[in-house]
Amino acid sequence: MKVNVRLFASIRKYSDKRNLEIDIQEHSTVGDLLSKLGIPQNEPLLVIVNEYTQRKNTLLKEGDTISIFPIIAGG
Amino acid sequence: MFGWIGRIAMVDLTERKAEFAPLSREFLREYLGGRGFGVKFLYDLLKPGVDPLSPENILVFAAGPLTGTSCPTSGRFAAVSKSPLTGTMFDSNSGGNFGPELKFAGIDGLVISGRAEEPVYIEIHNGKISIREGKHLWGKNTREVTAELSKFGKVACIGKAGEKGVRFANIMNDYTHTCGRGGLGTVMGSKNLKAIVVKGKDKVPIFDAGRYEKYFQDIIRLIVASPVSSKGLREYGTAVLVNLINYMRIFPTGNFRFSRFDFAEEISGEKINSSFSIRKAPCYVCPIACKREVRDTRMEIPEYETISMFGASCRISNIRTIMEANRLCNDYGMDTITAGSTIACLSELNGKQLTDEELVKLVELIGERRGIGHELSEGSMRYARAHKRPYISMQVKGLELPGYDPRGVLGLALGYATSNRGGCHLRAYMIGPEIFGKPKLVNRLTFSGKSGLVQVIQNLFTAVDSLVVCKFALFSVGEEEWANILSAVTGVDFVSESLLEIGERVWNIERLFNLKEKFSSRDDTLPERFFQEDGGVDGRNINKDDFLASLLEYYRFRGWDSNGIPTEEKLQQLNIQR
Repeated sequence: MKVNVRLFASIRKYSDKRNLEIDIQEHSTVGDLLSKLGIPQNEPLLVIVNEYTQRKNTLLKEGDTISIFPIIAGG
Repeated sequence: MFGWIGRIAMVDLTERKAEFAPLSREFLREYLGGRGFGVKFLYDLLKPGVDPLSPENILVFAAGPLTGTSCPTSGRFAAVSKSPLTGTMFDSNSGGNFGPELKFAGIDGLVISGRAEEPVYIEIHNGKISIREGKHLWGKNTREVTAELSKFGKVACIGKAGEKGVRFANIMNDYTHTCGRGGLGTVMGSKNLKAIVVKGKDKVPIFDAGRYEKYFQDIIRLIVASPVSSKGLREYGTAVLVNLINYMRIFPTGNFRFSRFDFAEEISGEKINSSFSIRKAPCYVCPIACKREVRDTRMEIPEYETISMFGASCRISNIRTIMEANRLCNDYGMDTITAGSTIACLSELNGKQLTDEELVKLVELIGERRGIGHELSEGSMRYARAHKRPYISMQVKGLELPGYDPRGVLGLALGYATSNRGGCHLRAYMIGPEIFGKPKLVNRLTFSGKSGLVQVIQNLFTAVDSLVVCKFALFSVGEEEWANILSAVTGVDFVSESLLEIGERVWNIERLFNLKEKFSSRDDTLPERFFQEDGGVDGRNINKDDFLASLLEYYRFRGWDSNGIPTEEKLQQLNIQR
């Protein structure tokens, strides 16, 4: 299945592109996607799937948009 | 006495006299410092109905018990007064170096009343206070005044905006640090007080140096271990939020008519980092160092809130334009959120997109209070009312909302509505749990479970504003660590619960003050736009019945009656006289 990936801030160092379309196996999780992108398991991340903050075990589905940020905060 | 100095300077500008007043141990224990001090002084000394810009209003500056120690992020002070923008109790706190210097000079703070006949500034030098002639400083902006007075010490001052009565004028300290939002600089200007300059050589005595060192190391460890405080904020500043908040569809665009801005990347933290060589400009004893400036020109990098208002809300996509608007606001000494939101309101009123040049010109006109800037200097609520379109002012209790659309973060919506100082994200930063998942992720699109959470976070933030430490440290350091180090510094035993109780006490006094000023539960609401329109996301307008049910539940959690009035039982529990 295909999912859309957007990388932000320091996470952009893991790809030449900011926006990617990735082919990934059915029933893949956020964690599987991170591995495929070569993002280390211990990198602190904020992962948003279709506008909701999600965990690494969240299942992905065809057409999802996944935005990956470093852990950030502010105000 | 340890931590606290135990005395405050009472300055009467009408009589041109200053004297010291002792602070009792009970007062210190119950109100801590900063916001707590200011709120208690105002509640006790100010009669209801006083015009905020009259000599009768009081302006309090207060450091906290940790200020001036090496405790991370503690180099802060608060300013508190009755706001000319909102008419509410109003506190604001700022970093830099001014706060610690108050303690080094031998005072916990100042209570300023009256009005000088002619412009003056206050000089505090090692426990001596002088009220000095300030005519030569009048008519100058904050950069120039700070440069001129810096030879005498650390400076907090107002620019032309404060002199001329812009209702959202700030007090600026150490050039670019700000007591922002509700017009505390306007109050200072109304008193003909241009600046305060302070210098001292005392050290803040610590009760138990051994325990202090242990707790100091605990806090440093937590800050370093947290990616938020050791990486995110250090590398990108708060501007890093632009893309995230835009992506979550809560980025106020076109005066909150929309919630996503197509050009967010152009005004993002990533864009800033790739466009400028940046150096850090940290506050006193702060290892987080979120504040940044352009290396060569020292031009300040705008904060997220500033970018959201001058950028997306005014639909400006050039980061250099936003930086110039920010620089002007800092120099004139005025609030960037209210300035940006009021200009966005004008843009909606006229149905016309502003050019970059027009935006910068409008900021300047507001600072000078000239031409259309005169009307805009009243803030968006008065401006929109004067044009018979009150609903296009995006404010709560007269204070313009910051850069998060409440339709997509319902805990924050309740936080905005119940904030004692009006539309503000810093009373309970619900973006933490609702977006970042800090300390724990909660569903952002429901009111369920929010009323309890909002009031706990409000109490915690009020305590933190009274310590005074930086809220950014709260992303990694909890109330237990603050209570530990506070106990080691002062020799008074504090635990997490006692900090939360202090926060609750101060919050309730603010509420009582506002009730006496004729605010009521009717004011605990949101701009009608959020109930009627969806902001470009189908069905995301807030259900009013759900909102009102959540508000009632919030009152119950607070121990208030169904009209939002604190009960006698609650006041007795908190040792508050009505």
